[in-house]
This record gives sequence, structure tokens and C-alpha cells, in this order.
Amino acid sequence: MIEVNNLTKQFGNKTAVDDLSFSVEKGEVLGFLGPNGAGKSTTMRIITGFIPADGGDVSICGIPVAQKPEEAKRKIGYLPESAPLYADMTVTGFLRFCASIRGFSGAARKEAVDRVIETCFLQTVVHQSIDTLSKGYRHRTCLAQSLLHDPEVLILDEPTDGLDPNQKHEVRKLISELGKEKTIIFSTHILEEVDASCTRAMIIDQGRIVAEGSPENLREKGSGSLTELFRKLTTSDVVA
Amino acid sequence: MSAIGIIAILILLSVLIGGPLLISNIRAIFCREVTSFFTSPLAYVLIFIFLVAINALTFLWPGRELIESEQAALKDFFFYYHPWVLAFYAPLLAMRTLSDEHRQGTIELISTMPVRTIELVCGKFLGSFMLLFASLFFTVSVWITVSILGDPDHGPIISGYLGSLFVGGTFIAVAIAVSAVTRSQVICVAVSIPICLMLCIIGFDPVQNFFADSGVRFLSFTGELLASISVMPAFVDFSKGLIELRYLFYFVSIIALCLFITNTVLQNKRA
Repeated sequence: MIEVNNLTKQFGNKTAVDDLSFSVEKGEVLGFLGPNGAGKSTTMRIITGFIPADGGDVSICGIPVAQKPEEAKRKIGYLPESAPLYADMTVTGFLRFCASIRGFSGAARKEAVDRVIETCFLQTVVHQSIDTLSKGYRHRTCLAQSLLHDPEVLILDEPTDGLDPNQKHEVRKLISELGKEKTIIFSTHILEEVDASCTRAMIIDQGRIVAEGSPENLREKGSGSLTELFRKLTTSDVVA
Repeated sequence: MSAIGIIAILILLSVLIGGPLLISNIRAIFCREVTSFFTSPLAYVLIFIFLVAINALTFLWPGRELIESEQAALKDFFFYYHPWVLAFYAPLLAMRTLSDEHRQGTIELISTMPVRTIELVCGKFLGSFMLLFASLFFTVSVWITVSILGDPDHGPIISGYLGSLFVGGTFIAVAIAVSAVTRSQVICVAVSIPICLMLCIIGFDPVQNFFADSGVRFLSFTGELLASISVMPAFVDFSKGLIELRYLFYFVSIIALCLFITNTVLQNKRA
């Protein structure tokens, strides 16, 4: 469903993504782990077509993102890291706008919006202005827009960032449910989320894959601890 | 002017190579822009300032007061000021179109949806244009006043409004192109207003007379060249009631060129 081949991206002299290759099939939930600046968000932005790659290619359900971007984007639901929203809209207004962009109209649009409101537990804030929402609700609103068109592929950049433990639990449960029939990549700093939601995980550092496998395999490599493996394989940017 | 037209045709062809524009996308973005404008107090403040400026100039400018002139015509007392006021007003309408997307981070959201950049740009342009239309609509009170006090020829008034819409649309397109380059609304306005003023000044009669009366062939040629890219000759004819196809072509071409530049800048910025 997602094919990434020899992906490379440079920003000036810095190599953000360095010859990255991997694939994710239907029913897989791939966890992207890595320290800050490892290239996770950049990789996701290339997969979703927001920025072009300098080398390599990406295809979504067999559709090359670079050559047929609009067609590929129809297959993707994307939650950016900052969960951007239009602050001057209400939750319903924003979701209706996104649904219109996704090709919905009339009763189908209403049905899609109602469905994601229920899926993301936004019932109590539907008519509230987005600029008055808490961080958790903003995140869930942005997650909701990624689900409107029931995409085959979900790219979620730190989907539980800033959520309280209850909300984190609900989002992880949602990801696990969705992962049964979709292809999901999500990035996280929280290693326990890998066990909770992922069928496979990948640790990235300085734009390269340093470890890959199921959560169990990775834990074995880290002598029983994913944290130990993460710290062993990645570069720390904290000066001792 | 022919060169601008040829460029516009090439632009149209290059855009259509990427496939037909989805009107539904443009409409969704247009509706969002218009709703966003009118849910914020900024739109009402801007329209108010515009109406005060236009009406003050029309009724109070010393030596050119509409009522005192006792003429049932708006060309020299009302439409005369439009390009100059629009050179300041249109950039204010358009300054937040793209800078807000960058500031809120929603450019990442909208760019990862099945929307072509040119569709986004067209929707943004039409949203600002609708606000311009609303602003000009509220100046109809001047037309009504003249119609009550006298018996104006309505044809030139209608074409004058059309000219104002085209001039304002051109300035909006210029400001949107500038807003694609900078995230700062202040810089966008500070750069757009001089560009729009220049598009007025280079075709303004005193400037054109300077070039024409110079007696130097090069300067005469320069004056003609500047007049061909200025909005003033076109607008003056519109306000007289003359709607020429070449001027329609000119306005559409300039707007298309600016929107294409915006599209190209946005795409290259992400690379």
C-alpha cells in the first residue's frame, strides 16, 4: 500500500532523509520512532506530497505520489504534527469544508461529518469555535478530518501529542481498530505506544533506518527494553 | 499588451496540461475565504474605511465636489479616485490570504489534500475579489444620489464599476503574488501598495504628457510602453463607457500572470 524506495531529502547541507526504503501493507500499523530531527516528519511530508523528494520515489496503493499527486492524496488521510486548523471556524464548519474538498456534498457530506464526529468523540464541541478548543480537542478535530473520506492509508504525525492519558488511550485504541483494515504509519516519541498500537516499528536516526521489526523483535534486540535499544542506536542531542 | 496576452495564453495552456481545474475545490476554498472574512471584524472595518474614503473624496475634495459641480456624471467626481484608493485598499484585502495559511500551519493541511495549488490560489483570489465586489456595491449610494438629483447616463456608470472591479482585481492579484513570497502581512502591504500605485502613475495623464511632450523618440516610446502596462488608460475608457476587448484581455492577462506567479512561488517554496 505504501512503497518508499531510496528516498532522499536535503535541506541545504543537512541530509534529512538518507536513502530510506521500506514498505507497509494493508493491515499493518508501522510505528516511526526516532529522536528529534531524525527525519520522521520529513518522511511523512514527502509521503503525503507536501514536499518533494530530492531522490527516490513513493507510491500509495501503486500510485506514484510525484507523478499523480492528487490521485495519491485521495488515498491518504494525514494528521500533521502541529494539528493545524482554521481557528476562525467551528468544528462542524471545518469538517464540512474538509469534506467538500474531499468531494463530498449534500447528504453524503453530512453523513461523513457525523461519522467522524462520533468516531473522534467531538459531540460536545461541534458548534464551538476552534480557537476556543483545548489542545486535546484540537488534535481530535484534526484527526477527524483525516478520517472523513475513509482513506486506505493514514499518516499520523505524533497523534497523541499533548493528550491526557484517557485521550491517549482512546486514540491508541482507535488506531488499533483502524489498523485492521487500513495501512497506518504513525510517529511517536512514546515507546509504550509501540506495544499498544503497532504491528511493526522502525527506529530512524539522521535520516536512516537503524532498526526495524515487530515490537517483540526490537525488545529482544534491546535486551528486553525498547528504550535501551532506542538509546543505543540513536544519537543524543543532549550535551552531558 | 500583446506580449502580456501571449504570456497569459501560455499560462493557461501550462495550467491545463496538469488537468482541468476542479471547480468544486475552488468553490470550497472561495466559500471558506468569504466566510472567514465576514466572521472577523476586519472585513467590516476595511469596508467602512473604504466607503469613508470614497465618499469623502467624491463629496468633499476641494474643487471637485460632486454636488457643487451640478453634473449628473460620476466619471470625474467619483470614478476618478477609484484606482488610487484601490491601490491602497486591494492589498489590505489580500494581505492575509496566504500569510494566514502559513501562520496557522494550514498550508500543510490543504497541500496534502487533493487540491492543486492553482485551485487554492484561484479560490483565494475569488474570495478577496468578492470582498472587493461587496465594498464597491455599497458605494451604489452615490449612484442613487446622482440619479435622484439628476438624470445621469447609466451606461458609463455601469462600465465604470466594471472598470473598478477589473482594476481592483488586478491589484488583488498583485498583492496575492507578493503574499506568496513573504509570511509578513506588513511586508506584503508595504510592497504591494507601491507596485499598485506605479501601475496607476505610469499611465496617469501628467506622466504620459511628460513623455509625449519630451520630443525625444526614446522617451515617447517609453511612455507608450508604460501606458500599455498601466491600468489607467483602460480604466479611463471604462469610466467613459467604452468597454474594449483589448482592455478586457489586458486585465484578464495581468490577473492570470500574477496568479501563475503565485502558483509557481508556492510550489517552489515547498521544494
